[in-house]
Amino acid sequence: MVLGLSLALTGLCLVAVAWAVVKIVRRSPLLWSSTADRVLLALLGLVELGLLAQLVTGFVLMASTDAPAGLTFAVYLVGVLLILPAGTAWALADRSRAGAGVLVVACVTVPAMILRMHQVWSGDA
Amino acid sequence: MPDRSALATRTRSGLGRVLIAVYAVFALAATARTLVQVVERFEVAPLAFTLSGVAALVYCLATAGLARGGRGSRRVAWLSCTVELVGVLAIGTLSWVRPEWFPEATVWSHFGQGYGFVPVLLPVLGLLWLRRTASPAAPVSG
Repeated sequence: MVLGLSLALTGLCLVAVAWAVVKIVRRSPLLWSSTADRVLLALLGLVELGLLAQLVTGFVLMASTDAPAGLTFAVYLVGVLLILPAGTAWALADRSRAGAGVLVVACVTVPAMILRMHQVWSGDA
Repeated sequence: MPDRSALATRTRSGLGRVLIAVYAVFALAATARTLVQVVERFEVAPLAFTLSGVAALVYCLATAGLARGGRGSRRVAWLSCTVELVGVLAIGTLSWVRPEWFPEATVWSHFGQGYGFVPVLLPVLGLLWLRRTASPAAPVSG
């Protein structure tokens, strides 16, 4: 796996988590009409693009090496793409600070899945 | 049906919305895990993998039940959370006492240790949330 990409994505997710926690503390709902919230969502969009790049590099690596990773790794590569779109939709449908809480869950899940992918890739799963 | 939709809104608002998000993550994790186990090597540990499938189904039902939040859906969610609590306690205990029955881990092995013990907390939180949102008088934080 491309370590630099994983670290960058993890870093961006943790920034989003911190941002969402600030919103929870300030009881601020997640609103598409707020410019600041759109910047936060754009950040998540960037992470999603990075996850797509990870999908491509992941499959290329799977095809070009004989590492022990197989179906589990492939399912992780695809599955992690669902988290942010689903989380964002579920968060935006709420009119309270719970929306930011949902983003925390989503943005903690993504790095956790990336970490698991590294474990699966290196064979200590 | 104003009462019904108010109940549904209450169930999926505030903390409930965050709880449903965590449930959805576990529904995805358990379903994906089961698919991989069954496709790759079902014969290695049929009991563990069947239990993975049961866990996956229960997480999916609990997620959908809480997210829909109507009267009937809440009953489905309550049942799923109860089965889940019994399952995680039973499998959690058995996996310590009879490890040879579980050559491969399930979501519920060792009370969900592999998932930061979240699997043992989730059904408790789910049942508490259902109780708290049952009547309109209960305050819903948000």
